[in-house]
Amino acid sequence: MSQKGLCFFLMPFLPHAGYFYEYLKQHIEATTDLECRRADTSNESVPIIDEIRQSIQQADVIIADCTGANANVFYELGYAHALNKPTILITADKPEHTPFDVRHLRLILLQEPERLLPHLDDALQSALAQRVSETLYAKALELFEAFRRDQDVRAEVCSLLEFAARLRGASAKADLPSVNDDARFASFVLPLIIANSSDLTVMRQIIGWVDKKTA
Amino acid sequence: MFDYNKRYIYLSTPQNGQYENVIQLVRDVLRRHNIELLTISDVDTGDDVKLSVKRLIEQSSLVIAEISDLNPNVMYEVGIGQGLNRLIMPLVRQDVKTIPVDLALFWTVIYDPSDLRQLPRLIERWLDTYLQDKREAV
Repeated sequence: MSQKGLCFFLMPFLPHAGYFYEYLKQHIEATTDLECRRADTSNESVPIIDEIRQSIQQADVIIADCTGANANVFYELGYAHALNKPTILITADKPEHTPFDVRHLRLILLQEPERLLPHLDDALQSALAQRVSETLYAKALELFEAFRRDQDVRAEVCSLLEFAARLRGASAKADLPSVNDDARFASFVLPLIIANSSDLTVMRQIIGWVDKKTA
Repeated sequence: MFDYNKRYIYLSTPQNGQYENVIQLVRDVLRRHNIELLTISDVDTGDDVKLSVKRLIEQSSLVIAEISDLNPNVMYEVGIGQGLNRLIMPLVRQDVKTIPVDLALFWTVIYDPSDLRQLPRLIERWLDTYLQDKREAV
């Protein structure tokens, strides 16, 4: 099994889309730790749909080529949004010609080819940061529940958005510990998820709880 | 299967005025079953469309989708429904020759747009299957 993250492409099955995919794949695989895969929605094969859904479920980030508003691409995009997958939308069409349901989302426009790769890099970075935040938030929530049960603490958790902002700040000052390093990881993320970050009693309880767990 | 705790069904059609009669017929037939119809027009102006549509579909037990024109918004909403494990009832005009591969495996309601009187019966027959499943499960 590959340890790399998966960047899954939703594209219409057109010859030019193949070249475009190869171009982006080469760039993404050279500049990130992602492996690219493409959905070939060939319209003739039915079982392939299961594979596409599976790839969407596995993907860390999804890039959708919305050009021409292809029906299959939009179905798959809806499926990805239902699963809260980070998505990057690219189009060669004018933004006002993009379907209503996704028009308000950030689009990378192919009409500005020289800005394509910088925009893609930015979008990938924020999509991956969102993914990391979501994963860490879920792990922090688990830890918080265990902490609350053990300590009978009356504390609330902050929102994912607030957690992501705090995580960015904390990561700028210190390296994020590995999730396998239980004690250091808990000491790092638990204070970030407590809604009232100035509640020193809870912060002291966290330190005591982590020390007890690792003693 | 059909979740009776949810009293809503979401209907997705192209927003070009062509399906107003279909929307009204579906609304009427569902009302007879005491089910409320939700559509994109239930999204408030200024709301985040993606999130709002997803919320409406989350409230619904079933997504009915008029897919004859392969409208991308409709297909997007079907995708959300599938991702949220909702039942999907595709509606297709009888003159349509092909349906997208992603929906080829669904049980589709095929209707004659020049005689919409038969549509309520077709929809009820589709719903009855799930009513039956539910009765057998109880």
